[in-house]
Amino acid sequence: MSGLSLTYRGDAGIMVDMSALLPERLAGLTADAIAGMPLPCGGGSARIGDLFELSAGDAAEGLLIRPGGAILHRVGAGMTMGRILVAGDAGNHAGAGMIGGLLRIDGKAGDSLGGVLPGLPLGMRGGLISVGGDAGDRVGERMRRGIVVVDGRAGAYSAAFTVAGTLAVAGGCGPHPGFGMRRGTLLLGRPASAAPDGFADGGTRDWLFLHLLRRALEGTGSWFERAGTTRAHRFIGDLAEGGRGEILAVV
Amino acid sequence: MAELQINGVRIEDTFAEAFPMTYTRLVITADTPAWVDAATSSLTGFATSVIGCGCEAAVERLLTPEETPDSRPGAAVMIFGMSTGDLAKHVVNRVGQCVMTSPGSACYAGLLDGAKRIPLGGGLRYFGDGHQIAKTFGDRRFWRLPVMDGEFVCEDSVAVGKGIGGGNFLILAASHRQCLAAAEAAVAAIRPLPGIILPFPGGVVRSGSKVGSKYKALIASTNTRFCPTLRAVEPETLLSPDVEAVLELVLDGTDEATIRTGMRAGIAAAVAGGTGAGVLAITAGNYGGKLGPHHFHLHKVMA
Repeated sequence: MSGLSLTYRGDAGIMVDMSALLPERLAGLTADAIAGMPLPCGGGSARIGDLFELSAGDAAEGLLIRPGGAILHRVGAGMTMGRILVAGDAGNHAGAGMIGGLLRIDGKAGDSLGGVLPGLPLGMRGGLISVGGDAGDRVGERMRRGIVVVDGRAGAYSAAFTVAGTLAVAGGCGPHPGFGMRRGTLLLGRPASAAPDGFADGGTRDWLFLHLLRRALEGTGSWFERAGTTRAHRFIGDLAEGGRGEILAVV
Repeated sequence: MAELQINGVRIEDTFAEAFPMTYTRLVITADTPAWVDAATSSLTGFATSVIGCGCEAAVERLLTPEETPDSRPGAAVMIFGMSTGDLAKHVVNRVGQCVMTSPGSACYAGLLDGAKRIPLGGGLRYFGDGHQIAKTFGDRRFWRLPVMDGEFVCEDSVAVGKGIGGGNFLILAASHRQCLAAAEAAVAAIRPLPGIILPFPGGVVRSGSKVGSKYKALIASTNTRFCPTLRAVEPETLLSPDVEAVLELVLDGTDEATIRTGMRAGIAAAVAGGTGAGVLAITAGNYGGKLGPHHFHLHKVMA
């Protein structure tokens, strides 16, 4: 990666709001200019250069973030283009409200991955999020478009209130998957023993469009890119919201 | 200009006259090559000439599973029309009636870049009666229409480009059998080339046309100057007494260079056997330059 690298300087954990660190905002800025920018953290704010060690590079080529012990919230929130790679874990609201670009998190992600930021009506509206580990609750909440793929497990209320888009979780979800879902797809990497609440059993078959999803994920190394099947059990719902969404459980 | 002969076959000093067309490319996939053939045969059926069919279409080439979006066998089909609006109407009708109805099929855009796009799944989605589902992966949008064998997956829209229709050459031979053999060789040489289709049956036209007719209702009629059976009564006949049959190859392509390449390959294959194979001359159809701006002079094509 020839882009800008940011390595957290401290060992102890600190919470940082990363939503200002987007490739489109940093493109064309020098490393010194970026180092002088403030970031909200720990109830106050600090200069990026005090929090992170910056290696020179063009942010337009992408951001490489090494979080160390920091808890980085809102990584890639609202990003519209470019690439962000987190070589570690991300906190809450990673990729929330994202419109475009690629966000790759090697480790775990917190709550509201690709979800909705407080006070806003919609979650993710485009782009691709790939998570190597587990994710927290409300992944893809109010998602409108785009793809979120999680190689581990996701928490409760995954794909809740989604309007469209695709969430693919290899390890299954916590309670209430697809709650209030209007449209969209929640793809699970393991069989489901029963239809989730609010969903009707739609039977098992091969789903051609999953080939297209696999092609879209090429190069991410995510679980569905490696999955050898497109056969899945379909559950249609949430029936309380018109029943146009779906949960697909790979069999 | 000096006379040009290849393997003893006379190449007439004339030109093929072609005209601008709008085209698009579709990628059709299915579970097996046989069902790809079923879908594309239907899709391209009755699409030989804009004169009577509204559009001209044929399979450009077959695709391996590695080349298709859904990793299944497929084919690239090119469809040519006289305008973007005309093309849009025919594409949606044909895909809706011939591809969506074919078991296991899917339809994707084979032309992604272009300033203009025409609807594909975007025009067919309402067949889903409210159960249709849109999926956007990257910058491509697809529709999933529930059908009785599962889902018909269809790209939302496809780009259109400016192409050329009506590239052609005629084979003049000593017998029908020899004329057909030369035409088949020409078709075999042209079909592997990218960006070209031969929209007529088997790639060959026997009823070449001229503009107009003695009947007011017809805009075209048989090309009497190349009809061997009329040689004795057609004062403008262009056939010598030893010509028994004439067949034409019509090429639609993406640009002039592609048409030229196709004509050159086809003519070279047609005359490969020389006069010993019964091929007497190669000529081309034109209307004195009044039909279109693209002129393919045979001597330059074969230079």
